[in-house]
Amino acid sequence: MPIDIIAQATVQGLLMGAIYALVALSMTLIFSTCGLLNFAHGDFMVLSMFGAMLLFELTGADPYLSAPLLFPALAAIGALTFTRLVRPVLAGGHLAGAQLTLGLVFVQQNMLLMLFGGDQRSVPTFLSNRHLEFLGVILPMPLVVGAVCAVALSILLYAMLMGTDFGRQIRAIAQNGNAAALMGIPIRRVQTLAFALGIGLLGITGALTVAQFSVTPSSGLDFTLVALIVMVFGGIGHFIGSLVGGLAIGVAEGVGSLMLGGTAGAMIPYLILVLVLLFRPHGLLGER
Amino acid sequence: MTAADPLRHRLPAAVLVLIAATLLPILGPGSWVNTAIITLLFAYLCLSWNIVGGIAGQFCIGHSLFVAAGAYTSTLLSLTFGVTPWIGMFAGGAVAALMGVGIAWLSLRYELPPLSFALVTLALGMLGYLLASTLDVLGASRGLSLPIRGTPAMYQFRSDSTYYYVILAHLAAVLLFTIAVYDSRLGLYLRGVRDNERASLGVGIHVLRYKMAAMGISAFFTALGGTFYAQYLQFVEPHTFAGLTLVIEVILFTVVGGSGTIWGPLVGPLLLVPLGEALRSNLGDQTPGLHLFVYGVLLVAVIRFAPQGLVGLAGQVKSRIHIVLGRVTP
Repeated sequence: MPIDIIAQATVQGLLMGAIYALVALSMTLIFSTCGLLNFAHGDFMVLSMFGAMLLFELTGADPYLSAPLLFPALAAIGALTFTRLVRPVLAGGHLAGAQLTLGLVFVQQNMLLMLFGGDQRSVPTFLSNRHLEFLGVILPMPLVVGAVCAVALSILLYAMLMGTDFGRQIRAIAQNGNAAALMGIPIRRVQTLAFALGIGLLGITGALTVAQFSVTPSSGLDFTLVALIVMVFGGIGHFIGSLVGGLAIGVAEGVGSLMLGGTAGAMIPYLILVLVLLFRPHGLLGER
Repeated sequence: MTAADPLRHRLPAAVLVLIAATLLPILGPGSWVNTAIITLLFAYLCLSWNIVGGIAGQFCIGHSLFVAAGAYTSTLLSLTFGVTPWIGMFAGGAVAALMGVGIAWLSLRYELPPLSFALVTLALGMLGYLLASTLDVLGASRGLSLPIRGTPAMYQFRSDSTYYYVILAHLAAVLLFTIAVYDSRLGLYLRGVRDNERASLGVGIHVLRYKMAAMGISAFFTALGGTFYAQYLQFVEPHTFAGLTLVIEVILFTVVGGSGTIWGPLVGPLLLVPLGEALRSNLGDQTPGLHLFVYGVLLVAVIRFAPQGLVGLAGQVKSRIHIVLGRVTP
C-alpha cells in the first residue's frame, strides 16, 4: 500500500472526524443536560440539509449563506420539540425518552421521503469541484471548509462551556441535576436552551456539509450512529474525549475502508463501540 | 384483575382470541391471508421481544441478530446438509439463545450508565448486518434462495393458509408462555429487576442471571420467527433479516400496544400492521413512506399521551368508568 494513499486516507479521515466530533458534541450537550439519548439526532442534521437544498432550489442561495439562517430555524424546532414532546416524556424515565426519539426518526425520515422522494441529491456550493492540494494530498474544498468550521464551532462551544455563566450552569446540571437545582439554577430554562443550541448546531453543520454528503432522507440514522460511537468512545460528557474520539473514528473509518474494503471498513466503528462499552464503559479518556 | 388466580382470567381470553384467529383464513377474503401472516409474524416477534425488552425492562435493539440466526442457521443446514428446517429452527433457536445469553452476560456484568445496553446491542446488530452482507458463506448481499421442494416435511407449503396456521401455532406458544410466566416466580423476578434493580438485588435475586435468562428465552423465540419468515419468503437476505428496520418496527408496535404487558405486544401489531399494509397498498404509490410516517406519529403520540401504551390506556378508561358508575374496583 503506497504511503501517499494512506496519507490521503488519513487526512481525509481527520477532516471527516472533525465533523463527526461536532455532531457528537451537540449530542453530548443534549445527553448530559437533558438525559436524552436522541436517536433522531442525525435526522435533525438531515432536516437542515434539506432546508439548505430547498433554499438553494427556491432562491439559488449558496448553502454557506443559508447556514446562519438554519441555525435559528433548527434551534426553534429543537426548543419546540423539547418543551412539547421530550420534557413531559422524560419525566417517565430515560427509556421513554429514547423510545420517543425512535418515533421521531420515523416521522422525520418519512416526512422528507414523502415531500422530496427517496433519490440521492447533491447541492452545489461555490466551492464544489474545487480541490486543495497540500503535500501531495488532494482534498475536496467543501470537506476542508466543513472541517475547519466544525473545529471553530467546537472551540466556540468549549469556550462557552468553560467561560460563561450559561456554560457553568450546563456543566453543573451535567454533574448533578438535583444539586444544581438546589443552587438555584433554572434547570428547565437551561435544558431548553441547551437542547435548542444542540439542534441549532446541527442546523449549521448540516448546511456546511451538505456539499460533502449526498442528501437522502434515510441518512439520518447513519449520522446518529457515528455520533453515538464518538460520544461513547470519548466518554459520555467528556468534551476533549469527543473531539479526540471524532478524529480517531474518522481516521479508523477512512483508513479501514481503504485497507479492508467498504463493508469491512464500515464495521470498524461498531467494533470499537462494542469493545469500548464492554471494557472501558466510561470511555477511553473517562475516569474508571 | 386480582392477583389470586390470574391464569384463570387470562387463559380463556387467550383461547378465545386464538380460536377466532383459526377461522380467519376460512371466513376472510383470500387476499387477506398474506397480510394476516405478516401481522401474526410481527405479533409473534413483538411478544418474543417483550420478554426481555418489556417484562425484564432491558431495552435490546439487537434482536435482528436473533432473527438472522434463526433464518440463516435453518437455511444453511437445509442447503448444505439437507436438514429439514423443522429441526433447523431449533438449531437456530439454540444458536440465538447462546448468543443472547452471551451478549447479556458481556454487557450487563457491570453497572453501566443508563441505556448502554441499548447501545451495545444496537452496535452488535449493525455488526451482524454488515457481517451478513459481507460473508460469502451467508450469501453476502445477494442472500440465499431455498430450493423449491414444496413438501411439508421440508417446511414448505403450497397454500398460504398453511403458513398462516404455522405462525398462529408459534404465536399461541409464545402467548401461552407469556401468560404462564408473567405471574410465576420467574416473571415476578423479571418485573422486579425492571422496576427496581437495587431492591431486587437487596432481596437476594440474582439479577444478572435473570437478565441472561430473559435474553436467552427471548432470543430463542425470536429465532423461530426468523426461520418461519425465511421459509415463508423462500429467501434470506441481509436487509430484511439482519437490518435494523425490522427490530425498530417490532419495538415500535410493542411500545404502542403497551410494552411489558401481556396483551400490548399482541394489540399493537394487530392494529398497526394491517393499517400499515392498507395505507401502503392504497396510497403507497403516490406517497412512499406514508405508513411509516403514520407509525412514527402514533408512536410519538402514544408515548407522549399514554405512556403505558394502548393497553394501559384501556385500563385507565375502564377504571374511570367504574369510578363514574360508583363501582370502585381494587
